[in-house]
Amino acid sequence: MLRASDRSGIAVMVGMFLAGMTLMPLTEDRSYLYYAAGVIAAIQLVSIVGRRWGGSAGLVHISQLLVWGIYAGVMGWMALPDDGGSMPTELGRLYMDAVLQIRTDVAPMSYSEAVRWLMVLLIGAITIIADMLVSTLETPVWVLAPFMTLYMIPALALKDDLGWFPFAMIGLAVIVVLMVDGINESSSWTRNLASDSAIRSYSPSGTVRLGLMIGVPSLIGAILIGMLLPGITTLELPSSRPRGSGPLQMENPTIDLSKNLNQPVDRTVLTYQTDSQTGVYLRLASLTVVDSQGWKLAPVDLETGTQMSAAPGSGRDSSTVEVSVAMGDFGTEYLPAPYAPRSFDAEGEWAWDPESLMILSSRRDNRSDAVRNLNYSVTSEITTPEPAAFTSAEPGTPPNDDVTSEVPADVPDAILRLTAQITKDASTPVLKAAAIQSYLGDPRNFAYSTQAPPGDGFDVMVNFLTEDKAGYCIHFAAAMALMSRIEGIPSRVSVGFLPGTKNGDTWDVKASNMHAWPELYFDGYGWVRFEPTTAVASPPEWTQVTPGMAPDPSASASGASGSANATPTPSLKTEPSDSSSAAPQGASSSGFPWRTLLMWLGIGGGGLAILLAPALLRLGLRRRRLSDNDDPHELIAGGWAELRDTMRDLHQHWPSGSPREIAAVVRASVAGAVPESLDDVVDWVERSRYARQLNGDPQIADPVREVRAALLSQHTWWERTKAQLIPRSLQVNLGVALRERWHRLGISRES
Amino acid sequence: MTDVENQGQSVSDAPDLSEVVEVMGRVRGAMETVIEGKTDQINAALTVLLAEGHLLVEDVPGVGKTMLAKALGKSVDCSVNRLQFTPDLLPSDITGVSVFNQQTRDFEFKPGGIFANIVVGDEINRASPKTQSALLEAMAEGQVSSDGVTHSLAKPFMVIATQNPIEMEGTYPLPEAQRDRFMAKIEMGYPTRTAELDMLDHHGGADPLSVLQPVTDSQTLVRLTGIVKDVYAAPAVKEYIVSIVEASRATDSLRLGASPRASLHLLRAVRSRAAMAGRDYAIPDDVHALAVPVLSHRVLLSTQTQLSGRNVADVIAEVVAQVPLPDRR
Repeated sequence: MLRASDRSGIAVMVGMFLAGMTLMPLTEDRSYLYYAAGVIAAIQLVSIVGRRWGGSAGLVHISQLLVWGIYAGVMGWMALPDDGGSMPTELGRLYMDAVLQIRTDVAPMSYSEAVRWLMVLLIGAITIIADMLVSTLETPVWVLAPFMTLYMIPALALKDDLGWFPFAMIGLAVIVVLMVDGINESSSWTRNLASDSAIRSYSPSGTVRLGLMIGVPSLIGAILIGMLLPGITTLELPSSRPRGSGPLQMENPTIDLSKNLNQPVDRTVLTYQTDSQTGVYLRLASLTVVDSQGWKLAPVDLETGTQMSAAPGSGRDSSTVEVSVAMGDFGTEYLPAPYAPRSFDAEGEWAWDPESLMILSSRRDNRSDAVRNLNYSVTSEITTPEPAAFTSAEPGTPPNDDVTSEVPADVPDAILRLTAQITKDASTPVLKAAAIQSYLGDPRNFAYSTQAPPGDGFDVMVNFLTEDKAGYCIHFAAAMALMSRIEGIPSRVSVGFLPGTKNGDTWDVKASNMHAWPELYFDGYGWVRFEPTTAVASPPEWTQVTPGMAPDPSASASGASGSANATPTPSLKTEPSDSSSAAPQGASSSGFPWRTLLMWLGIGGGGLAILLAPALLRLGLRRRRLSDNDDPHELIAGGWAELRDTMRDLHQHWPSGSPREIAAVVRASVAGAVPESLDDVVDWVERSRYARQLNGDPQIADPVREVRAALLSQHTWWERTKAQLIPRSLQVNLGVALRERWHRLGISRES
Repeated sequence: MTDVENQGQSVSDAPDLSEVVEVMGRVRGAMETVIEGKTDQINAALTVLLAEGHLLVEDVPGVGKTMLAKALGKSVDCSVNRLQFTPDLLPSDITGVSVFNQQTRDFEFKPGGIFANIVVGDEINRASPKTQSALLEAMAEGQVSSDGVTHSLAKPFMVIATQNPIEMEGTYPLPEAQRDRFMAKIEMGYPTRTAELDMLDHHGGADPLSVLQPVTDSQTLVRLTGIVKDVYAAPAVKEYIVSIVEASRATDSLRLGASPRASLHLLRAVRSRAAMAGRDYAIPDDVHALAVPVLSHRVLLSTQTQLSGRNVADVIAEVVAQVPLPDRR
């Protein structure tokens, strides 16, 4: 036979598992769910068995913590490489690994034992909290708090719509816990006011039906109503970035970048369809000239025609991809295209630069409107270097080598020194570039901030690299391009768009997806994209190279299959946007503003919780007082205190005096008949306080409930509601307690 | 009578109180046939009887003081003596006297009026202090010494003394020390209108006492007093009693507070009252109910309180109200 505590324990188990599924958008690794199920089951079994054996709540929670710790230790030990450090330091390292990965990787994160370990640990800790709320404190409603904590992790980390799935999981989890609580309640006490009799009954099926009848439609209703609220999207929390205004356009690529990133409304600037498995980086322009003022466009000799010449230096690991783009309300003279475009089909007059393969409008007036609302298609050849072979690639000589290799004489010494320091351990040019990228991309070194001073001149660079250590994509890209050039690798800064988010067959690119990234020129590969701005986009696989990487068959096989898919990033991740938002594929397809809805729900819920806190506290007190207690004296005192607080809640006087005197006053305050159970209560109280022994088990909860019901029935609906929502007894009791404390203090001071 | 004797022989730690309740109920019922509408006074008298104390009844003439005493005496099958205290009453009239018996040629003890289970001392304040003190000495000690021989008094033994507070001419008011020996003092008070009408109806002709039959006997009473001693008084209740007595000593309204003997008497009376209610434990309500009867004759009002016109009962009720109730074990 299941006991109430067993049912609560199992409910928390099931609820936690459902709630744990909300972390799924964070990682590609689904195996964490098995481990989470293990830790949840272990912790809750401890709770169930402990409570069955009558262990105190404290003992149960301590045992749970112990089990949690052991689980964490064993799981950590299994995850650790066997290199014989001491356990605590090794676990600490595991933790640091997990933190590092979480901070550098973007969701959904790739498989990592450290991250899995941390997630399971977190789920375990939250399980203990949930169990404490449900079983120890008997406040199952509050289980919403730990569940929401789990929900908030992906909600805050992704900053984008999570989709309906995690929301529904949380809802289901709460319904499970509440329904089981309903079963427990109904089995312990049923009161039939009509016949004024109290009967015990057990009707879990009724509770389940009721729970399903209320809970499931509410959940579905909440999701549907949310979808009908389109306007909420603009109600964003004030972001840390300054808000620009004005039309979206791109004349000088670097200057407009910051403004477009800071548009208050994150408008969709273009959508595209591609035969590529993943999204593509759409380049507008490449900045090849650098001087103390920053990166600039080089003068170009334009050619016309839609068939373009081959990309300089490319050939290895390249594949063809077709993209058809529908531009939105975005003004620029450059035609966004994946590098390196081979042909394009667009209306209007276009020309292209054979060195950089930028496509520009050649019409005479209103050139900046050339691409506005234009539909066009581009065929490009995308280079996806195979990492192992790429490691040993040598810097090439691009056609415009005189420009792209030039290091200005006035590069500040600070940058030169820093570059030498970063690359001193790297043996090959590619490893040097990777070292620069990982130095810039390490969140421990640099923070992402669109509030950093705009621009990419030397002053700004020095400030970014040595002082502020905070910036956005242009700073990272410009710094890496300059440093690579110092190390002898031809470089340029490309400006364009991140791949955006997938929405069905098409990809949406927003103004906040505007991006800048460095491209380095390697022999045989041509211009290769790097990604030091790890806060918004994950570095391509070929840039994450280590000295130990040797060409081996399996690696090249995976690289080959990656290049067959003609993707800029072989991993299946969605490339995130520059607004540091990253959406899981398919999850946000509805476009429904879950985060905003949730925020308002949270604010509303928080307010409601504050308002309801006294009522819930009072309810919890009542339950604790009237629930079974091993100490009969405590039970009786609790019942008596409950009567006292009921009177106080109803704004009635609770006199000082003996139980009988007080009972007489209570009786006088009730116009109708007070149930005789009041005498029973008084009798138990007197026995508890003054008799030699109790003579039997006190049955006080039911009489107290009857008297309470009689007292409540004397008042209007409004007074009753007020008594329950704003229980005056809490305030009075607090006052009494404070007075007593003060009094005692006074006495002790006197003595 | 026999069935009463067969009940409740064992006195364990949880005394069987049904006999107490039943016997005292019968005595109360019998007395109420004689004295109409005086339940409180009857209860107080019975409480004192079970607590082995003595009772002082104070009120104006003709309200039934003596009737109460006599009714109690007649309800119990035991010896009852009535002593009318006058200024010329001698101590030997109370304690008894040794007289020379010519036939046995020896002194022989002639017991005085005090040798009875229930002694009704009418108008005790009219006797000379010497006589009064002889009575009170005997009351306190439960024995009489005469010519080196100690004579024990009967058991149960209860003195019910009456006094008249109005006619002070030619009286010798009891000193505090002697009043202290009475467990409780009650006032009869005038009957209600209906009670008085009933009285006229019922008692117009014959003497009601003449038809009153005893409903219990002295041995039963002795046994019941033994049971009462086993009623449990929780430490909280004892502390409450001591707190009240201490408060009576501390208050400005009283010139003289209650004595330690008052605490003892109050505790005994409280136990007795609890037993009569069928409880084997005392509660603060017992203390409340008995504080005024047990304490009021032992304290003296301060001059200021007297001038402000408050009476002793009010002051004691006030003192009791000031003492916080024991609500924890």
